[in-house]
Amino acid sequence: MLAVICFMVFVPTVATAQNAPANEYQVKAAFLYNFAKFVDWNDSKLAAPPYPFTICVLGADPFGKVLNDTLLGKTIEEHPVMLVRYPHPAEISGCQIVFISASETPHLPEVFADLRKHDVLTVGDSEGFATAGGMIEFTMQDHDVHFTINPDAAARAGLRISSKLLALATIVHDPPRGAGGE
Amino acid sequence: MRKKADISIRQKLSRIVLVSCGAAILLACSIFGAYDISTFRHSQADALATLAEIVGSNTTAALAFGDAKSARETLDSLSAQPHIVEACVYARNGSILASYRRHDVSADFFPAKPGSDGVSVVSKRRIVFRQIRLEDQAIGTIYLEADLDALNGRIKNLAEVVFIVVLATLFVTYFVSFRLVRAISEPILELARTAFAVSVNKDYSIRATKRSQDEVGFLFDRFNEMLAQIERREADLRQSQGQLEKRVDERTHELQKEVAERKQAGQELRESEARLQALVSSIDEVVFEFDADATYRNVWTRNEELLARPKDELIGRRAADVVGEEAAQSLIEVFRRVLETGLGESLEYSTPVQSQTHWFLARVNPIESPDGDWRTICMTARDITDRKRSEGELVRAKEAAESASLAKSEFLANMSHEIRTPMNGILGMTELALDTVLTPEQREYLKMAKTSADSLLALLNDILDFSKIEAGRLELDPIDFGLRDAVGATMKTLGLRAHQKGLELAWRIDAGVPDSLAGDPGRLRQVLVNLVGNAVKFTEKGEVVLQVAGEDHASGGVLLHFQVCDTGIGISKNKQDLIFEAFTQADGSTTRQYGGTGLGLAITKRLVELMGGTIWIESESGRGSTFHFTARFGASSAARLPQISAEPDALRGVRVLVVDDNETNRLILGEMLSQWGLDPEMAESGRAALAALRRMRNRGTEFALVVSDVLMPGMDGFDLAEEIRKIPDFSHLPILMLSSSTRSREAERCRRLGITSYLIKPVQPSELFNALLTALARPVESGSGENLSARTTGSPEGNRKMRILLAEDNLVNRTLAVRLLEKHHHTVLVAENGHQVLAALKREAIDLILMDLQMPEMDGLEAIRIIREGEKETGAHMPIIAVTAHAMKGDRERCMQAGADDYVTKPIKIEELFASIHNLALPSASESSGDSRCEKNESRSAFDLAEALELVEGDRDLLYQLACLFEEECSKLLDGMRDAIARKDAARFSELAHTLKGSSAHFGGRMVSGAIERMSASATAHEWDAANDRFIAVEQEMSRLNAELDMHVRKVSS
Repeated sequence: MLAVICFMVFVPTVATAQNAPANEYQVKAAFLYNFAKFVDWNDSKLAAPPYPFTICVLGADPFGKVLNDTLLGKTIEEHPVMLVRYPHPAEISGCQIVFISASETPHLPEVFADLRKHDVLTVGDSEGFATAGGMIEFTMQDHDVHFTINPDAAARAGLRISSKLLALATIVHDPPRGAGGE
Repeated sequence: MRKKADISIRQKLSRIVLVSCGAAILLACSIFGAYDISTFRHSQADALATLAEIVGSNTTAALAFGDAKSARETLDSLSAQPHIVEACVYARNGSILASYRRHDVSADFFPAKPGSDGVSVVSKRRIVFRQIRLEDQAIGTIYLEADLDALNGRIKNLAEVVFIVVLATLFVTYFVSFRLVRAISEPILELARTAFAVSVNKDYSIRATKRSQDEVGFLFDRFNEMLAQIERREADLRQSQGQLEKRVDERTHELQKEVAERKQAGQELRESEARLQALVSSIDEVVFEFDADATYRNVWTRNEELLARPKDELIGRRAADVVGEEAAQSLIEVFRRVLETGLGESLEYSTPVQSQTHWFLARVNPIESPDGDWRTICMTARDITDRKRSEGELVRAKEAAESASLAKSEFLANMSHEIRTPMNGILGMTELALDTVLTPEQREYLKMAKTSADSLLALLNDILDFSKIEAGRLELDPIDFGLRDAVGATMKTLGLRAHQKGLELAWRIDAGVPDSLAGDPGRLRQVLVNLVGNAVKFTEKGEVVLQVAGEDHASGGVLLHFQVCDTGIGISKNKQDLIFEAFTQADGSTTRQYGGTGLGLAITKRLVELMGGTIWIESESGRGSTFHFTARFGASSAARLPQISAEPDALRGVRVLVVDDNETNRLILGEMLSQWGLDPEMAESGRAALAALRRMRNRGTEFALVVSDVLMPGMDGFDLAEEIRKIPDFSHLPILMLSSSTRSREAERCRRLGITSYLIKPVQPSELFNALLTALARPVESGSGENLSARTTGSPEGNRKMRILLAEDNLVNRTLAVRLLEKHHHTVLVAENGHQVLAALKREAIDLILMDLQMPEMDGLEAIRIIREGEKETGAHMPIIAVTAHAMKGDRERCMQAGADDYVTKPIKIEELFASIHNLALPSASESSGDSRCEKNESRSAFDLAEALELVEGDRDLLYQLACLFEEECSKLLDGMRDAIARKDAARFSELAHTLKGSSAHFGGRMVSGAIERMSASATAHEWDAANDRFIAVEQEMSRLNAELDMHVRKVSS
């Protein structure tokens, strides 16, 4: 049950996913990190450095070692980046970004319900993730990784996503009342 | 074309105004334009950089997520900026993510790689690179390229504006200046016209009309004033011209007269000059005139052959070119001196003339013009080549003569050495042989041999002296000496011979004759020995008396008159002139009878003459003769020796009975005693003496002392003493005995009879004086077995055995010396050269060295020097007596210089040698044996030399100085004490006594110090009678101490 915790603090940078030949999860790992830069993390959501910026993976980890490599030695606004893997949503605490694995698709509503109290940026790659109430969903178009953003979901969690990021994404909104988890 | 200067002032001023205005405007516009364009260019660059910043910022997300499409859209917004030609965004790896180009541009020209941040201008385009950063991380770079159309357009506009402004300005300026210039140029032209009018018409009454009060107006005023002045001057000039013409006429007349006079003076000067030239040229000397830097100015000579070069070549040439650099330098030096001092100098120099060296004697004098304008040098040179040549010959001749003379002297010295060495052997060996057991016959023969050898030696010495005199090489060696001591000592040695013949020998020196003299006592002794010796030789019975009187005390010196009077055979009148000739005696027969070389008197005569005196004779055949001579001595510079005539109180008025059969002796003794303040009475025989004693006793007074001769007819001295002792009252009467010989038998009798002192005749005054003091100081204890010692000249070395190192290479001499020394119980070590001496010194304990000077390998002088050198470190002092056969003057100096303590000549005279050894090594021995007084052996001498030397760490010089000081101080202190007794001043007395005690302590006067203490105690207790008695005793002790210091310290050291 123990979380597998990897500290990647002040360690020399290694090759990142962007530079390597585009493997889908390499790219996704890099995007995951870059998303952090286009979200306004105010003080209420992130304590002052050296408090770490924590990225979590919930459920079966599709990244493997790639995510570790990508995040190794990185910082967000001077916060060292930490990666934590959780098997169960109830255990999650202190995260800023949670990647919700496809393995959690069957019980997404419960997951979102659990995360509601944490004000985290939810990222997933299961189809319809954004529509279902996730904030950013990775999509594939001609082997390129794109993403869809649900600004409504982000606004619910009190997170403000940069317009620059929004300009790059496909925007979806919550389905009309009654269709979503609300 | 007109030159600039010809243009009118009006035009010049116009042009100046135009050009300056134009230039000013142009410069202002240019600066303004340049500033404007620069500002514009900077604002353009800033605008471009800002644009890059904005566009870059808008592409951050696109870069972060690699979204080219989005990036391109962002760039397309640049179409709103028409001056942007191209733009692109580079990803982080340098690849182009998105690009933009203006619609009119057909191809891309992006740089392959992003450059560093900043704006720059490349090929008429302004470009900018700007890094795009996300969260401080560089994620890409934006590139913008803009054209410069805006800038170019602005420049063009500016140029047009400037052109128009300049043109307009010039136009306006021209018209304004035209008007202004007129105002300035018009008055000047007016003035010019006026001046023209004046010069053309020569009318100085015209005036210019002033129009303004400015500078030009001022110019008008001055111009008018000038005209007025000229007008006045013109008038004056015209007036004075008449006078001037008159004066010119007068002056011209005068000048003509003067020219005529000068012409005549010049003629005379030339004649005088020519005569002077001829005069100078006619003298024998060459006359040069030089500059101070030795350049020939002029040369005059009668004989041009004496010049190093022809006269014409010399003049103007530097001396260095003619006589060489070095000679010229010395000339310049002389010239410099002469010019400085103004005094002429002489110099000699040589110079090659006609390929022969000529010597010149030159006189250098400075010449100065009367007004001091110039100074040159006149050098007159006389050819002295011939004189030089003969001088050289003279020097050579003189050197040859001197070397010949030197060789002769050397030969003489060597000869004397060569002869003396074997003589030494003969004499010494003969003496040794005489000491062995011999038959009377052998003894007789040996004695004759010895006598012959002695004569031969005497002859040799005479010949040497005579040859020295002949060569004029005999020189006096003046030193300070005491006359009475010197004469006394000489007479003492001669006394032996006289007494052997039964003659009385006596001498006296007038009281007025000073004792301290400067002269050669050795030569004086030689003269006395000769004359007195002769007298003794030629007198069979009677007496020989020497008298000395002072004749002349002029000029610091003294001329002494010596008389030697005998009762001998006399010399007949006709022989008297001959006897002073060499190799002559009064009678041929006398030579056979008395021996002698016949040189003695000749030498004596020369010596006397050398001493600044004369010698003559008064004689009558058969009735004795008297030799007179005079000699001049200097006054001694040394401290005066104690004057016996000081009349100490102890002797004043003391009655003395003098007993002697010889009248002369009586006279002399009487005179001496009276001099010292005693009251002598004479008796010519023992009986007369006894009668006198009895007579005196009957009268109630007594004689304090009897001085008696030993040898008297009838009752001799000892018989007299015996008789005296028989009289009860006289058992303690002090008796002084004067004897002609020393026999142990006499000494024994002396002791038995309680004789106080026993003196050998002829008696020296100092001896007698000391003996008197001693005799009067203590009562005699008769028959108490006092140890009496008599002074003999025999063996003064006492009983001390010494280890003597003998350095002598000659076998005979060595054997002789060894035997002599061993006979006196000394241990002798032998060395044959200097090396062996040095080696022996290292090995053995040596008391004294006898050093022959001439030895092989290392001679004596060298050895002495090395020994003394070594002693400088150790501080020790080895007594060294040099032994030499050299009899020439200078040997002694050489020995002493090398460091020898004393010096004896070969053949060694035993007495001389032992006297020297005694002086040097055994100073303590002299006290026991050298003292003639009859006194207890334990009665310690007043003075302990060994102790005194110890006190001064063996420094004899210091001791000498102390002794001299002490003598002076002592007499002052004693006087003071006597005075203190008279005044009964105990404190003063004690103070002086204390000082005396301290001073005398330097000389080991232990016994004296005791006496002083007792005396001082008596004075303090105010027992003045006792104090006075003790003072007299101390006084006597002091005079004894001084006498002994004289004997051992002052005399030895001086």
